[in-house]
Amino acid sequence: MTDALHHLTIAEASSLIERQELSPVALTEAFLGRIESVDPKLNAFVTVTGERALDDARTAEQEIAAGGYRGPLHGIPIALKDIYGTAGIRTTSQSHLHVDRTPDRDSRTAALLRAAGTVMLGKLTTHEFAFGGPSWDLPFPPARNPWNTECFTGGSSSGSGAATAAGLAMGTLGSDTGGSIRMPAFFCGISGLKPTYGRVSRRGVSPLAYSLDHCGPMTWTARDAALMLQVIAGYDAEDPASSNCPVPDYTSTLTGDIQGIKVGLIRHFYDGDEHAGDEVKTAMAGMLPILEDLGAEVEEIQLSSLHDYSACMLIIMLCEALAVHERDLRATPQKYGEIFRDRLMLSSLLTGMDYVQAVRLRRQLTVEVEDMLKRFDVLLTAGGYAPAPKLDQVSKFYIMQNPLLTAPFDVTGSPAICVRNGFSASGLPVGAQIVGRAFDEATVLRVADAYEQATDWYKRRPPI
Amino acid sequence: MTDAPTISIGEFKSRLHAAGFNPDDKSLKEMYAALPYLEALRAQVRREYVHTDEPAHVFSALESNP
Repeated sequence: MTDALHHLTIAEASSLIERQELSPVALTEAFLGRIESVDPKLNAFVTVTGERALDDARTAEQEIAAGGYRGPLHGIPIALKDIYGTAGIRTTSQSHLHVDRTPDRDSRTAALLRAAGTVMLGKLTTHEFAFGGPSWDLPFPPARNPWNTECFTGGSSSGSGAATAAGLAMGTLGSDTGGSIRMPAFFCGISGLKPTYGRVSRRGVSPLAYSLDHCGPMTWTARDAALMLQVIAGYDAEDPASSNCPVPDYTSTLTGDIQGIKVGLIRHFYDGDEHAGDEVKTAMAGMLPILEDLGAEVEEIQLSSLHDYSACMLIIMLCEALAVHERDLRATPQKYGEIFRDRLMLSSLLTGMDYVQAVRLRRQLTVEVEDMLKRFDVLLTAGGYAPAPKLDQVSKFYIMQNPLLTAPFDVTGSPAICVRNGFSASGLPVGAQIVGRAFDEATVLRVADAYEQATDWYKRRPPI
Repeated sequence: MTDAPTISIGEFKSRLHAAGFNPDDKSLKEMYAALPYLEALRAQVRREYVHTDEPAHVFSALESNP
């Protein structure tokens, strides 16, 4: 365990808080101090809610002292991507269009986290409406990577990735439509979980693409992701995509035991259909014997080309996003950032036929993955091609230029976590995705946790 | 993936205008340069589907009107 409060995991801190050996107020003050000193270098926060945080912390401390411990998130400092609606706290989606918007009601997930007794530190930088970025013409600057502040965090949950990695919040929420939880997890070296589509309510969260949007936790470890998922998972009658599939106890299976787990390795996604850099390929190769030593059985498998999955996701995402923003984009295009505006204007050339063909392909690809997951407990592939690029090297249309390694599991709705599995020579993290059957986040977390505990990667912290 | 666009920049501008958009010259040129990427994505999802191949999500009147 580390001595620095901001580097405790949620699991470590909650254990201390429950035993009243750690004060939520002291913990919160440490995080607010850390945000004040470090965030000017990272731009992870767009709004810091210091008074609210201290109020939450004092309430938690009093409740716990009175015997009213609510559970593992009680007194834990968290922060939310600024597309999550928060009552009385501005929710800007990083856009001039919503810069003065203050909802009068919490999103479902914000309400659940509040009810669990968390401490709300503030709202986090995002690409504009979880899509347009990294951009310099928005109300707030883009987030920077704590491992190297000249580098990209990945997007769109950019502030969530940076804040979690730098110890500015113990846990954060991101959203994932084409990879926006897992890409920042890959570039920032944290654990980012995209739950199954429908597992976590999207109510009150600014939509990007209705049929692809997922809400999920971004944390330092898979165990911490399990603790957050436990609170935010479950049916919500106000989200039409919400599932009433029962929510299991996510931490009960985190024993480190993955004996007999069957792992299907999708190597061709990163070494065939596209070509990841040597550092990613080396990290992936190094991961396999560790999983096998833990008792897992790894077998290489073949799916459709990554290009099929990524094109399918992008066509659907671009059409659905344009449907969301069509009216405002025509009426007040100047209120959008250039990247957001130009990506969606270009997408206006897509047709209804393109959308339907993509949705037809989606069925085919989803069945393919479902069938493969009848033979394997989880699938494994890389989380990205290379460590984080410099921020100024990210091109406006990068999402269309190379297929996204994260896209397949937005298409299929499968639960997927990205965990760090190595570092580059320049000290930047890389990671792998572990993917499971629909609504079987428990097995995904079990494998991710076992792998994390068998390695030392999670012990490295950014030098900031 | 990066072949030249299949339409002229004038035609491209006309299509954007018909969709309700009038980008400035810089954006127009950058979007036009990126058009081959969009065309490659469209080509990637076009398959030899038969008439009866359904998409992933099909409206169900029974579910909507119990």
